[in-house]
Amino acid sequence: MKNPVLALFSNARFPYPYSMFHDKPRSLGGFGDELGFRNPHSPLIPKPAGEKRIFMLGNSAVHSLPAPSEPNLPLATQQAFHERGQAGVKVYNYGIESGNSGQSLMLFLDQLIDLQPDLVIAYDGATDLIVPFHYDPRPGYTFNNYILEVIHEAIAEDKLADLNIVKSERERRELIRKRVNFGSSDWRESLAAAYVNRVAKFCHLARCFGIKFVHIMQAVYRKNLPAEAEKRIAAQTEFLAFGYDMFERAAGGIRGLKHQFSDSNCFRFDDFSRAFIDEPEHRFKDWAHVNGIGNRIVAGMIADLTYEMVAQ
Amino acid sequence: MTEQQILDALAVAIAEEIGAKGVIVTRDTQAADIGGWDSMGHGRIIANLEDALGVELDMDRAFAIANVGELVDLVREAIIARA
Repeated sequence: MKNPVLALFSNARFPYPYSMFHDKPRSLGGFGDELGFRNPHSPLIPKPAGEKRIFMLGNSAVHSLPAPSEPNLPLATQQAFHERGQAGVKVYNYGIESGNSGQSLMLFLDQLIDLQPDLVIAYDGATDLIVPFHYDPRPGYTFNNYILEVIHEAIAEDKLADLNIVKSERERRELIRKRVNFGSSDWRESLAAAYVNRVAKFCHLARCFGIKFVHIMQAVYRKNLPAEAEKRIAAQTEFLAFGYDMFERAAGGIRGLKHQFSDSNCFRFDDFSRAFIDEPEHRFKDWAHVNGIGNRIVAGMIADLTYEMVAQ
Repeated sequence: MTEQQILDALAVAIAEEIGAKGVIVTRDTQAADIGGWDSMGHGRIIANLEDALGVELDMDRAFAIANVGELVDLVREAIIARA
């Protein structure tokens, strides 16, 4: 078990302006690019002729490998496009480990619009809607902001050497939980609203910059019958019930955006949170991450959803 | 305090942290066997356990355990030290 302080400051959470944190450049054993994302190399400017450039934003479900021998979701999606005859498609992984929609939004505004995207896909939801159950409960905050506050105060007061991160983290979280009325319906609505608000800003910015945009609520563990290997996930009944409620609340807001931005072929919205509900086989590693086969299924769904947008 | 009482207290501490009901742990249980038991959650579980049992654990060792059995042994040592 890794010390939580070290886990918080891993190479996948290197500090950057605006987007808060993502990979340390070239830090992932050959998989990290010079801009700090999980790609063999960063996007070339100008874009090579014939390249259809897709950026995929999101949390660890985008960023990470489902298994060492398996492609991550962006790479699996690229393969799915190639299998469907679109050989020019290149999908760049701009996922952030533990990242939320606000961080993705800042990446979009600060970096992606300069990188000549043909399409931007945001595949997310879990960190915005469910992670506040365990980490910073304030709507819209990064998962670790309260811990950074604790560390900041310890530095400012010259008490870093005395800091017991385990106790301080838990105390701060409890304090903030009381402040936000943790667990209440109002709190849940605020979390969902913060998320939907970010997606709305994505849409407005995409329209402003003439960029095609797709928003997908990610697949989460939601199954009628857990496979044997998934029973430890299914046992988190209270946590999962919270997650399902949060996804339902947010889905209502996203449906409103779908209506608002239905005037062109530049937008697509979908909700994959129930994608595996009738799937009896083992597809989930934990509540927010599918295994290699699950990843290929999701990649195929994304390619099918966006095929026409990319072909045009 | 018996080993089973420590295991029961740990099960409650885990359930509180991960949002589960009916958590069952044995000496062989590892964090990876329990959905939602990540590194920060581990810290909170340790803190919950300390509060519940009124003991103070060696944090370096608490983060180095390989399974629940090692954590139980650490708790027993702390109980003996407290006495």
